[in-house]
Amino acid sequence: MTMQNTDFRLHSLEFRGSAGEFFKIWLVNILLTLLTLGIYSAWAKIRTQRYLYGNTYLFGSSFEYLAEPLQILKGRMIAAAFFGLFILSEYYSSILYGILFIGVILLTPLIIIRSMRFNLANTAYRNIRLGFDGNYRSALLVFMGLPLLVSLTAGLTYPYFVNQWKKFLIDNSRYGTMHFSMRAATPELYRIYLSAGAAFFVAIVAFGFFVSMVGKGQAAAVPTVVFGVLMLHVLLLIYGYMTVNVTNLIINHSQLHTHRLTCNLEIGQYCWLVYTNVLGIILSFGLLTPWAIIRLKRYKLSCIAIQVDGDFERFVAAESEKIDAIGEEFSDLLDIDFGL
Amino acid sequence: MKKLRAYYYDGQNSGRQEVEVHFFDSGDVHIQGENLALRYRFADMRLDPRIGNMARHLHLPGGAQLETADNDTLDAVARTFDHGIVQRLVHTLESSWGVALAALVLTAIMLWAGIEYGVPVAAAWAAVGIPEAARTKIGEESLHSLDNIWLTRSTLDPRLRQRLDLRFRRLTETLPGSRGYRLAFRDSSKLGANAIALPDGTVVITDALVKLAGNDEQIVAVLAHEIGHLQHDHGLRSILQNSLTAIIVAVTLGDVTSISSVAVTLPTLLVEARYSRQFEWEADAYALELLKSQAIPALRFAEMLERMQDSHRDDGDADYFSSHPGTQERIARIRGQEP
Repeated sequence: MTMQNTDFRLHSLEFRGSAGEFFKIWLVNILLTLLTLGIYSAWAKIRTQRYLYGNTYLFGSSFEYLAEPLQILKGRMIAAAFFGLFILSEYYSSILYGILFIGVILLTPLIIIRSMRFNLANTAYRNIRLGFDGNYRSALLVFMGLPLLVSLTAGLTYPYFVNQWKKFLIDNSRYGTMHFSMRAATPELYRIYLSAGAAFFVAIVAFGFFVSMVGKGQAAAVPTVVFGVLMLHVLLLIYGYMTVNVTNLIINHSQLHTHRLTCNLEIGQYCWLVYTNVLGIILSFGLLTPWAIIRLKRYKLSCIAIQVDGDFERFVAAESEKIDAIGEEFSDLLDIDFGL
Repeated sequence: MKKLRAYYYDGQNSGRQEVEVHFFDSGDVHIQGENLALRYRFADMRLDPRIGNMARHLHLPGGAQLETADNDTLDAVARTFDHGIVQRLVHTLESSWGVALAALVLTAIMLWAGIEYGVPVAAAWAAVGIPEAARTKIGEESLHSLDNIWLTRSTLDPRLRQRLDLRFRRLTETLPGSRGYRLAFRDSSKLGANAIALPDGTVVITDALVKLAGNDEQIVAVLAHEIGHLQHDHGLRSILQNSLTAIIVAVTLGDVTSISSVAVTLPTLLVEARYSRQFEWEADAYALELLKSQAIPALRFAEMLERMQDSHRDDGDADYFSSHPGTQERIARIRGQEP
């Protein structure tokens, strides 16, 4: 009997993966990747993603990552061949380089769309896939037009750009046939970026003042280093302030159909996690990387919740489509971060 | 017969049902829920590979699926039907701490061997295969971008330049492959006293370096060092080695996301610094041989390095030499060569 629950409570995501388990998976992935001269990396990616998705729970059901290794391998090879050509052309032919460079710029919106589509179409929850419907023309406007506007206005329209960018990604996402949507949050984004910018400005001025105070030479070396390290911490705090507030804001302005999404990351806790992660990774020569990934994931997911509006049992599946992994692997190589 | 409890999802909507699944030795599978009774053949189902201890899905014909965390029962069933041996093997590897330790040791050895021997050998081998035209092109492009960013026209006395040019030619004329070697004079307020060897055989020296030298032999010593870079093809080899290193690090830590980009960049930089130090030693050793054949004492080289170190320290913007903490060590080693 399907439960007809009438539920208005807040249900948070939950991550059940363990660092020890993930460490072993990670290590075997690296070993097999090296032994196969990189070919296994496609399988490694799948196993990593499956582990991270499969341990993400909502209402006691887990998520699923459905991409196949051969798709990833093919996408990876095409992207790698393109970038190989791109790098070589830099030395051999400036014309080809120019053409490819313009090509990359024009293709970026397409790459973003294809990558989103690939990732969402290969994500399922309760046997229903997510999906992405964004089209090239709107993506071109958001990811090419608006950055142009931002540079023309000397950065003053950046918060507006962030709003449009997140809105584009969220509004075009769906779970089955139910759409995600985001309410505009431009004024709040302005407030966040302006305060972060002000803090950054104060920090830089303070640093400049300090450096001019202690002067140059041997005697100034130690205080300069100490103050520099202090500055790094201040910058991390500003970065944390920005990331946490923007993430919270965007998710709190979003909903899936009529179900509200919430997010309550805390700056202190988030910064502490990122700080100890970086420190741990460096001091352990990278060995604590899996631990770092797991604990950040556990914290982030635990802060995201969905406020169910009555019934979560009746989401309906949509027709599924096959999408190749070329866009996804391009964006991997380009290191495009969608910030979601 | 084996049985387990699972969630059933029909694939049409997000509803969930608790069911009991019976696997019979005949290959029949019965799924029993509160108002659900389904029959399948195990051979028609697809089971997700096991990863860690996370819940897995059993995909049914027609698009429905079962989700269960009862991995041991699933594995026992899969073994009975001989399903997915390779994936099971990978899981076996992933579930033992002993294997993890062995993998760690093996990975460390492979990375070390790759960085110490594999990358340099592969780069040297690839460098030989790069045609002359490409070298010329790379050299020209490099000089062009150096000219744009760092260098300006030399203001040295033309007669002085001619004299040094002659010494450069005398130094290189008998060397193998030295046909394209040439000396280029540039001024640079940003680089200070410096010399750079480009892959096409161009050696750039700055006016500051010429002015800093106490005599011609000290300049010749620096030129000999740069010629060492050319003779060993360090320019191309370092481009190739650094690209290879970046690829290896990216592949090794490839699926790591933003939190640890430091962890990806840092090792690459460390390995690059190590290679560049090795190249410096190699070029020094070559320079000493070349100077010996010209009857120039190795001391001139040590003197010049000391002068350069001092000049960069005074500048305050000592980026080049402060990134080479080995200069003191190099000087000591060169002085050690003195009879």
